[in-house]
Amino acid sequence: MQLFFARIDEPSGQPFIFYLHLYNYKTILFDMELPELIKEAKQGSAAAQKCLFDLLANRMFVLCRRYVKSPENAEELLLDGFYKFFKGLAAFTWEGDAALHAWLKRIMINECLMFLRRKNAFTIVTELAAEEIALDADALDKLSAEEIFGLVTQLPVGYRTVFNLYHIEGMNHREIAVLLDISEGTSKSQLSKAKALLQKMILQKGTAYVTRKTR
Amino acid sequence: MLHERPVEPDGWKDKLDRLDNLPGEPWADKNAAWDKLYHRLHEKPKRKAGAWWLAAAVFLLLVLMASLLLTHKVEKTWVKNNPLPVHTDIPAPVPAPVQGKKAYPVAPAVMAKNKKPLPLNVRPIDTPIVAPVATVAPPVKTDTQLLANAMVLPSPKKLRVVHINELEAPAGNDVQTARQPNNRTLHFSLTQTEDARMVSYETTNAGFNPFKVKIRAQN
Repeated sequence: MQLFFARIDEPSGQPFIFYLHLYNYKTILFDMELPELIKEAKQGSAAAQKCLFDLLANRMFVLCRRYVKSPENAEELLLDGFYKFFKGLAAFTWEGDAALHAWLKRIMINECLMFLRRKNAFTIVTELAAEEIALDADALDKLSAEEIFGLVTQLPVGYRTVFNLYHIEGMNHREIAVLLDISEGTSKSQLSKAKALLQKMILQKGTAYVTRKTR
Repeated sequence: MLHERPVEPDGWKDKLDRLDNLPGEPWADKNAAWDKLYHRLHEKPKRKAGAWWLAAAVFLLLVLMASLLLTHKVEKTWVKNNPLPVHTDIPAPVPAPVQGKKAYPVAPAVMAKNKKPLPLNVRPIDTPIVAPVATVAPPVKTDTQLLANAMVLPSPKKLRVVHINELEAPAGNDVQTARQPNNRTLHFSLTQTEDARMVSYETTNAGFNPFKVKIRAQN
């Protein structure tokens, strides 16, 4: 991956002077690879940290918004997550882009879950495992990412959290149960209800691609 | 922990995971967010105010101790220069025994004197009434008085005990002579009778002027 810190190329040159004044940049980052950027950020380079933030913040912001509805709260959580990311970067060893993304995602998800716990958002009553509903992937594939995002964020917080953790982050029910301090049965039940509600919402949108399976 | 469960290669999940921008809700100000983060990352650690408070407390303690020591020294010197009178133990007043509504003891002598029927709350006793000694608090000397007594009182002069025979050899059996500082000689003569002793006193200074003292056995 190549990064272009191109602000110096702007005609007026103002952005570069602005950053130089504000952040006391010591290095001008041109055409830098991600590992080198991580290395610079480890050494405390504000320029490298800014580049990493610009590169990763948008996706992480959307991730936080999937868990937390309010954009203001999502932004706060994003900043908290990036703060921990930069503070813990010294202990990070480069193992590839995927590992970096996974680590950062994990930090963000933890921040979101801690926020939800602080807000007592998880008032999940212990439930028995309900019958599992399978979503038709074709129905969802036909929706755009923004539409899917809109549907997921309309789910109640408990359903949404379990749905995100299971389907998007790829955790199993045992991990979700440990993370949310609920039973596996409750996790399964919440997921089934989330899927049922999602199915209903998709149907309301006029796309009936949901099939039902029983366990 | 992540991705332990094999994720199905669903297109919608990838689409959702890779979503970078929300078209309906653009991020208000990314640079402002970075500014906040930058200041959090690079702010100088604040000096701990606790250290200053600790230093101030230690300083105050030292000042307090020094002032206490100085005051104590001045007090000692003052006591040396101004000796206090010897403390006399004045017995503390004996408090009157408390009489409650309950029956209280009355001595038989009192009962005989009154010759009246006793009230219901009075019972006769045989043992004499003793003042509650335990209630009398012993006089307590203050520290200053103890210190004054210990420091100011002169040590008692030691007197040598001498037998009367060791003083001077007697002039006669019954006459003792003592030399006065102005070369006067005193003669004591002792005459013992059946019921009294006569002591005569003679001086060589202004003629013989005997002064006799009669000491009787009853004296």
